[in-house]
Amino acid sequence: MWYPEWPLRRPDAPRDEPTQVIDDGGIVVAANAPARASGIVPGMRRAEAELRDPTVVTLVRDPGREAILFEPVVAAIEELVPRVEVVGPGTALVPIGGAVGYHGGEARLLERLDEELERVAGPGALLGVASGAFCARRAAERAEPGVPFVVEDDAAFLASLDVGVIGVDALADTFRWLGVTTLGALAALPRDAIVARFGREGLEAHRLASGATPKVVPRPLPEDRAVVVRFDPPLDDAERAAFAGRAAASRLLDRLAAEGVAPHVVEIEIEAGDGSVRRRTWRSLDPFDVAVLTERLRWQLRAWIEGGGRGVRGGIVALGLRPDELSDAGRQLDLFEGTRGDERRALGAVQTIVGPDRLLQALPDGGRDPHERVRWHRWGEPPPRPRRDLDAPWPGRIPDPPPALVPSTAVPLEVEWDAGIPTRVRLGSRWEPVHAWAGPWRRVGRWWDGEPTSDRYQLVTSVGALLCKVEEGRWFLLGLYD
Amino acid sequence: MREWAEQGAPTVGEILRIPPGGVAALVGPHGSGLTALGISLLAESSSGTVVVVDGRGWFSPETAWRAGIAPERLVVVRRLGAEEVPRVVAALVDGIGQVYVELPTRLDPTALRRLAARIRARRSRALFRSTSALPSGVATLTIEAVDVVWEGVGRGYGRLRRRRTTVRARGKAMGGTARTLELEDDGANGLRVVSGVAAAATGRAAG
Repeated sequence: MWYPEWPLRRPDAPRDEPTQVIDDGGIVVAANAPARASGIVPGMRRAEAELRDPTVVTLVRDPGREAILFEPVVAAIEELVPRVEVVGPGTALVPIGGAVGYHGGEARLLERLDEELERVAGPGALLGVASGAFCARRAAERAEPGVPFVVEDDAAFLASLDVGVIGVDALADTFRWLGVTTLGALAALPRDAIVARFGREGLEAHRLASGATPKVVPRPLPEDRAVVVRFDPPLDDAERAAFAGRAAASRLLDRLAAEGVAPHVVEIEIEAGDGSVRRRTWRSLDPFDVAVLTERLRWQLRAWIEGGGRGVRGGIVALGLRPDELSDAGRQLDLFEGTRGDERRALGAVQTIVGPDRLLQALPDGGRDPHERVRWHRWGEPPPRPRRDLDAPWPGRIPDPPPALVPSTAVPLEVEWDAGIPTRVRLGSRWEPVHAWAGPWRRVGRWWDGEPTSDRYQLVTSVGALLCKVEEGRWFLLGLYD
Repeated sequence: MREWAEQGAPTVGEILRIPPGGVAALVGPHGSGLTALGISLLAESSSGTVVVVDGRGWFSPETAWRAGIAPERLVVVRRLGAEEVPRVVAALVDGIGQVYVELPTRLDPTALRRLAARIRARRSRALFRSTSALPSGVATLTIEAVDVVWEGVGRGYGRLRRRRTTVRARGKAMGGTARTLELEDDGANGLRVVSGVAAAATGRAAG
């Protein structure tokens, strides 16, 4: 169930003039019919939208107020179908599976739902029906007011959609660049290949594309995962309640993180001073983190306290948070201990662009040549053990300082000799005279493995110093002291 | 490790300060010591993750470890095509405070300016290592290699021991005056400022 124009439902929004609502980042999140007529669509930048229609009225989004207004709608849906999950103000997931039989068929239920929504919140609701949450949301985008969009086969419906709907821009761009433009094309790719190239985000995208609901890994957990906080005296002010909520949220998520899981669904429950209990379930496609959960909690508490006339009689005496649909996404976190959240996200975004094999970390390793003394491993994977002994003496090791630039394979080099003395070296298109040199340092290779004997030289030119190797009369560049 | 720092001499990072949102250009041929200089500037300025974007894949992490960046703080993006570099850097600066980029030789000036604007908006610090001057308006600090002299090597004997690099720094971050610095590097103790030769102010004095 989706109200695309929900952010516009506020008393200060003009009715007939073109109006847009933007979020904190200056991106249009909703536009009314006159605004849309002049070409403004959600997702556009504010400046671009104002270029299309300079008369447009711009309002800044206030999700807290939106949530308050949305509360009666959720309550109304709950009269028909229990256990509604709120995704955000204006969007809710209604599990109709069980209610269909009770109301006498899917069509009848949808009709009643539509009537009820129109009575409470007026027209404008879009209903999409599908087996999975992601698919239902996409179906709602296709629906028309009053005409629900029913998806019979999730996979077939998703196949026709653009890859942009997976919601990760960097990933979608890379898919497009690779010629994978629809979810169908993405779902047709072998899952193993996607995981190898794009890691976890790729796997998530592939799951969405194949119409599988975000899979939840069942893990044995101790039963008592809910966090309950009691307040004495009771809280009757939304801001104080939200503050208390933040502490509860971080306690809940910390406790879950210790077990290596994170929730996709959290049920918020409060007990009022008069003994009444209220519950609301919130869902997030990504596992909740403290910031997101706190924000949802603040919206919900404000909606209960300030909205709907009744308020919370006697204040809030207890607040409970019950996690559900735990996924093991949280388990990854331990690997990146020491990396801050935004750093991790940025590196994750880069990993989706370049793949796991080009985003690397390194550890010291034992060896003689500069390239042997470094061991690379993929970012985000547990570091490997050194191949060779770090503390061994390594006779014949190239002395410090190490070269700053080391080609991964030795690069052939042209050097001129005169009576056993290197005189000139070719760098790019120029020949540079050799001012000084050190070497040869003879290295007897593992002759039993067929490795030839070679010499190391350090050459100094007017543009810098080079580390070179001479093997069977040919010169190679091993490093550049930059 | 840095005993000279205690003697009160200004460190390289104090003289060549990259403000948040600033781009420093390191301009000079490979071999002039600018990689070591750039890495030690990043090592001094923060304790967060340092990311090196190295299209060619030649950057050696040993230099960073010597400069004081622990292995777990260093991430390297290697072997990128020239067209991938701006995209990768743009994604990085969303969350990474210090980025070192080995610029591909041919890069569209518009893409570079756009990147600099993004770095400014995200308040990250970036170092662009380039063999040729960057288009105007990209760098807040330009460090050019002037000279490099190695000590310890003769005609067939010794080994590379110490490098003296002369660089000229100019740009907005230097407050409008150009400065020539002489730096010394023995690969073990980090970079040391030998002399901060005060240079002539830019522009001409009248009268």
